[in-house]
Amino acid sequence: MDIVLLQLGAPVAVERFVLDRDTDDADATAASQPNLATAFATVARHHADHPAVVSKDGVFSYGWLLQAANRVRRHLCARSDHKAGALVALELSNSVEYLAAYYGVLLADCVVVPLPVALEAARKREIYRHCQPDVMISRAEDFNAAQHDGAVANLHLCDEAEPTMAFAAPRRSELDLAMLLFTSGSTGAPKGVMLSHRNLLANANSILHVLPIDADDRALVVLPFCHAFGNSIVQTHILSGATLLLRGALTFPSSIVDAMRDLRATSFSAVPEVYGMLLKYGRLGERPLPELRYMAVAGGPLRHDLSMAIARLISPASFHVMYGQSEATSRLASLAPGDLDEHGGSIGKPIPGVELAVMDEANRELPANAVGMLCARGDNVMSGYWGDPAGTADVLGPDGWLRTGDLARRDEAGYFYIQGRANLLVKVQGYRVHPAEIESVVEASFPQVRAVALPVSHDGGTRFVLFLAPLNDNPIDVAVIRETCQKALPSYKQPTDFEVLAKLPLTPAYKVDRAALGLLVPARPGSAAALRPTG
Amino acid sequence: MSEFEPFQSTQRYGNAALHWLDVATMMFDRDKALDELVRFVQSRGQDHAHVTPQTDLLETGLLDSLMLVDLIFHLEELYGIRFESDHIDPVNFHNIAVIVDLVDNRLSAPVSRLG
Repeated sequence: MDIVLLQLGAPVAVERFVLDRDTDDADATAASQPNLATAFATVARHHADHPAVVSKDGVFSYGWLLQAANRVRRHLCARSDHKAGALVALELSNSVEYLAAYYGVLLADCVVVPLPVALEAARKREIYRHCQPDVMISRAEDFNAAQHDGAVANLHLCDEAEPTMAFAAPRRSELDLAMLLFTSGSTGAPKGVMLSHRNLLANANSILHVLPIDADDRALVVLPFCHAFGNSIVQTHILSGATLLLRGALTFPSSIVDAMRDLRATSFSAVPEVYGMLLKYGRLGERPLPELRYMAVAGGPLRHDLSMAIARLISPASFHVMYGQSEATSRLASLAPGDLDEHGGSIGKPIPGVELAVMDEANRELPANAVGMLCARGDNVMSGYWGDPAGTADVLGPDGWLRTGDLARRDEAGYFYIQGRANLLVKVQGYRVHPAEIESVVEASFPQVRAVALPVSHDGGTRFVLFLAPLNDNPIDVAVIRETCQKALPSYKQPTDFEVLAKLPLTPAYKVDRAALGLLVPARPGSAAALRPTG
Repeated sequence: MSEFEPFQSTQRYGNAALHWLDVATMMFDRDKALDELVRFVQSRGQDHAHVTPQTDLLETGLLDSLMLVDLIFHLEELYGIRFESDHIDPVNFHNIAVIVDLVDNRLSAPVSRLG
């Protein structure tokens, strides 16, 4: 795999990137394009002098971004092995370079595979083995040379406006693959969600029916772009000609509020854990945020009383509770701000272009209030998992219905309520985690130990308790196991507690009885309570 | 009657297993607290292995939002203190030494103890 490191160059004045508008584009809107790269180029030409990104490195206009993406396109197209549909991995944290690489890959008719920069080395190797990209694009800040042995080339992104910006129109059709989005599957192994140009455009357009995003919007982004939720924020804002505000990690809740004020953010989207911290320590509502239009939560359930508290504190700005999953590009349902009080705990109704239904095991729709599998259908539903027809068949029927893995019910008024999971997957900070991802790391290093990770409610969010039982007479050294977890797992997968048992409780079928383990979760003031087992 | 054998936890290793308050004198042992917190931060991963009390956790990017949550939880449990919005600020968390100052400060605040 060859490696390309992007170099930014000096920030350039916005007005130098006012491009000649292509007359053919005059009537074209982003929404009518069949190809995401074409849609991006249309918007970028139209808003050439408007800021696309504000970051610590400066203000980057749409004209700049299009030119930078074109540099990436030219580099890829100049490769002797260049072909349409080739996979190009990104190891880039949130930055203008990420966006230049993302749209540059699509302009070159390639497929973009964004990976989290902090992904565990072993999992990253597994993904690269699975999909074997030809090229990986990174930058010095994000590049870990020890993990790669390919040839490294540097690519300087523009610092001079180019006189012309002509390039061949992208040829990929709307049903062609545009993006591979890696997530955890129901067995804990990484799955590459295959998203087409149509999937990405359809979901962005659906979301734009629900969230009032226009070119004046300035979204403060803390979610990683490589995550389904973060990616949907990128696509909805770029296709609207809006501005993305980037300001580092924003570790402290008060710094999020400060950044919203300083950068005059009109919107903010985050996972539930962030809202928990904002409410507890962010002093939200103490100082006015006059520019704020709305906030949105997705990526996991936020307790209803916390949603209500946020809505109260940010009023007259509105609060949108949303629901989605990677297999459906990102978002599927939304609870209108006006419905929050009356339909507490609901994920709302399907967004335009999406159908939702609660079904039984035989894929028959269930009546109102019956709990079953939440299924989704629409142009945003993936075509399948990369190289995994069996895994695809498990979740995607020939009739186009996607089985989400979430259990839900629908009330008489058509509002949907999540009732739990049909498998062991849980959401931690918006990341889908299977307990096996933790258990396998421990059991690989300690073959004489059986490990069972159980999700628990932890200080408003979800984390794991790790139960350990010896398979022989040797005592278990928890300190060593804890150290192994800390070295091998990212922070959101770290168990918060370790419990040693003489043996594990088993079901009559001799499987580990996770419900019984839930009763053994250590009691903590205001903290750990086992999450309701859901089958 | 229970459906399954009562499985008793034989060992418990929550964060609350450690107590650095000297029960006899109720004095805060600053060196012990520093040592404990250095080990807590060092154990977060390979990038954290060489952290000292003076390492800038923000400049180096070692303190992310999830670690902040865990750190607050750990300190509140270990010392029986509560932090308010004012305390959760870069000024109080930029290195381990100032975090220990904050703990010391919270321990001497009369209303902060949970009893």
